[in-house]
Amino acid sequence: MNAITENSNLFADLFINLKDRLPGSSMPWLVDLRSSAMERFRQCGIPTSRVEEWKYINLSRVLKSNMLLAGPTVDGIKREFLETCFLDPTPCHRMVFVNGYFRPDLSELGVLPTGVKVSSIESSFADCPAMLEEHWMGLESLTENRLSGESDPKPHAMVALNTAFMSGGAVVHLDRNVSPDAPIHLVHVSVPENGHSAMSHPRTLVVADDGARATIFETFIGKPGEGHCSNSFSQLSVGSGARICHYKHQNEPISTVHIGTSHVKLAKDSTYNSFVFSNGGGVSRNEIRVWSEEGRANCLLDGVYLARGEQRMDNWTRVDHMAPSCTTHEVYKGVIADSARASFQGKIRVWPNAIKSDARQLNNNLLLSETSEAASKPELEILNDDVQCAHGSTIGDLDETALFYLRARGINETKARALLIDAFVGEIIDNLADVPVRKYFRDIFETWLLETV
Amino acid sequence: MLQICDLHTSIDGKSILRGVNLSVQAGEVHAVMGPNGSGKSTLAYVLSGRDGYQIDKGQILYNGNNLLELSPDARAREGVFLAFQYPVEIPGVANATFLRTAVNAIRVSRGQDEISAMAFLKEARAKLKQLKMSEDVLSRQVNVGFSGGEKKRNEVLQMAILEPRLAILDETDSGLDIDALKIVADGINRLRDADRAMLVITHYQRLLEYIVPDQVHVLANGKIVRSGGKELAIELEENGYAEVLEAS
Repeated sequence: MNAITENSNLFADLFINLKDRLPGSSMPWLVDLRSSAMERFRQCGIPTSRVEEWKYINLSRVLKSNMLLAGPTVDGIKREFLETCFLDPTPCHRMVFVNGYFRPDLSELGVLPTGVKVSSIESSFADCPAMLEEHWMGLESLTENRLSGESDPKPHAMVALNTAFMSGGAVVHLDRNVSPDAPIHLVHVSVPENGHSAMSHPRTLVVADDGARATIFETFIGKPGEGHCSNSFSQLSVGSGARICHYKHQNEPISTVHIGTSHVKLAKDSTYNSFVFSNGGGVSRNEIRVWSEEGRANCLLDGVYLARGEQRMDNWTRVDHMAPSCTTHEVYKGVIADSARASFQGKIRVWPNAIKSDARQLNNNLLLSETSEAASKPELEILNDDVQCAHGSTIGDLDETALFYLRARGINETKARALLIDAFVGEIIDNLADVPVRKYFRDIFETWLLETV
Repeated sequence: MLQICDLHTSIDGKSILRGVNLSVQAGEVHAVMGPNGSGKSTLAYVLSGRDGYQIDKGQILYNGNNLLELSPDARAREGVFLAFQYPVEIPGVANATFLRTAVNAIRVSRGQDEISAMAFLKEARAKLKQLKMSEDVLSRQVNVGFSGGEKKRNEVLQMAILEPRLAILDETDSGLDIDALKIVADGINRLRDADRAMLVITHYQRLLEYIVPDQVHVLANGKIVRSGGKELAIELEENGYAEVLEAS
C-alpha cells in the first residue's frame, strides 16, 4: 500500500466514525454528498507536487496522516483577541467561527436590512436546504481536463475533504438589488487541540441575486500550538449585475497549515473584486477559481503575499472566460524575506466563443534575501483571436541604485528599504475600493514592514 | 570644511583616484574639471559614500571628522549632498513623500520636530516657483517620466529643500538646453552662502559662466594636475585638456 492511499484511508476511517454526528446527517442528499466526496478524496489522496496545480506546495509532506477533526473548542477565545481583526471603527455584520463551528456568543450580526440573510450552515439546513443543495451538488463533477483527454479530480481533493467533514460555516443570501450598509465579516479562528494535530473545514456560501451588492470580508486567524490545518472552502455565486467585493486576510499562526479555496460563478454584467492578503501560516495556499459564465462579467483579482522566516506560500488562480466581453484584471505581488518561499500559478482561459475578452495578469516578486525564493507561472490560454490579453511576471531584488539615491538624501537604510518595498506593493492596497478595509490592510502591511526590514 | 588628503581609490582592483588633494572652505565654490574617465564621478561617489569603491589610501575630513566612517545616509544628515549626474527613477514613490521623508530624517537627526505635511507643502511650493517647476512635480513619482532637464531641476529642488552644507554637483549641466541651464544655475547661485561649500563637477566651462567658481581644479588620471582661479576654466575651454595634461 503506498503512502497516499494509506493517508486517505485514515481519513476514510475517521469519516466512517464521525459521519452520523456531522451536521445535517438527517438529510439524505447531504449524507450522500458527503459520502461520495469522501470516496473521491480517498481515490485522489492529499495532492502531491506531482499534481500540476499543486506543484509548488507538497501538501502530502506537510499534512500528518493522523489528523483528527478539530472540535468546537470553547476556551481561550475572547473578544479582545478577536478585536485585532476588526475594521475598527466601522461596524460589521460579524460571524465568528472556531475550528469551523459557529460561535453565536462571539458574533455580532447587528440589524440586517430586509432581503439580507446571514446565518450559520446549521440554521440554513432548516431554512433553505434547497439553496445549499443547488450550489453544493455541482462540486461532484469538479475535474481538470488533461492533454491526455483524462478528467482528473485530484486537484480538487481538498474541496472534497471539506465537503466530507465540514462542521459549520456561513451562508449569506442577498435578495435582488439589496445592498447591506456594512461589510459582512466572517472570522475563522483555528484553535489547536491539546496533544494531537487536527483539521478544521470552514465553509462559506454567498449567493447574491441579480443587482445585489455586498462586501464580504473573511479573516483567518488562530492560536499557535500543535500542528493545525484549516482547510476552508468558500463558494460565491454572483447574479446578473450584482457586485461582490471579497477580501480575505490569511493571518493564521506559523504553526498552522492554511488551505483556502474560493469558487466563484459570475452571471452577466456582474462584478467580482477579490483581494487576498496573506501573511500568516507556516504553509499556506490560496486558491481562487472563477467561472465567468455569462457575457460582460468583470473580475478583479488582486493579491499581496508577505512571506518571511521559513514560511511557504502558494497562490493559485484560474479564471475561465466562457462568454463574450468578459474582463479579468489580475495583479499579485509578493515580498519574500529570510528563507521563505512563495509561488504564484495563474491561468486565464478564454473559451472559443468568449470574443472581445480583456484579460490581464501580472505577478511581481521581490526577494529581500539571498535565501528567499519565488516561483511564478502565469498562463494565458486563448482559444479565439478577437481578444486583448497580456500577462507578465518578474522576480527581482531591491534596486541598489534606488536604495543609494534615497540614502544619499539622509533616509536611513531601514527606512529606505521600507519605502521601496512599499512602492512595490503598497499601490495594490491603496487602490482598494473600501476605505476601512484599505486602512486595515495598510496597518497590517506597515507593521509587517517594521518587523521585517 | 572639506579636506581630501592623498586619496587613492579603486574599483574591482582598478585604480581610479591616485592621490587627490583638495581643500574647500565654507562659502567657497570649487569647480572640478577634466576629461572623460579622469575620476570626476568617482570622486563625487566616494564623497557621498556609494558602495563599490575601495579606499586604498588617504583620508577625507569633513568639518574635522573622518567622512569615510559615515554611512551614505549619515553623511547626508551631516549636510553632504550629491546632485546626481543620472538621477534615479523610483516608481511608486511620490516626489513629495520622498522629499518630506528626507527633510524629516535630517530634521530628526538635528533634534528638530518633523515638519507637518502642510508646512512642507508650503515650503516646497515656494522653491518650485523659484525653479520655474510645475506643482505636479510633487505628486509625480520620483523622476519617473521626467525629461532630462526636469530630472536635473528636481536635483536642484532637493538641494534647495534639504539645504546642505556641502553640495557636490555632478555634471548638473549635462543634458540641459541653455534656458534650463540658466534656471538651474540661478537656483544654485541662490544657494551660495557663507556657510555652504560647493563642488561643481563639469566637463565644460559653459556652466561656470553662470556659476562663477572661486577655484578651478583639473582632474586627470586620478590626480589634480592643476589648480587656479576662474580664468583656468576659460583657458581649458580654448586649448582643451591636452595642453594641461602634457604640462603636468
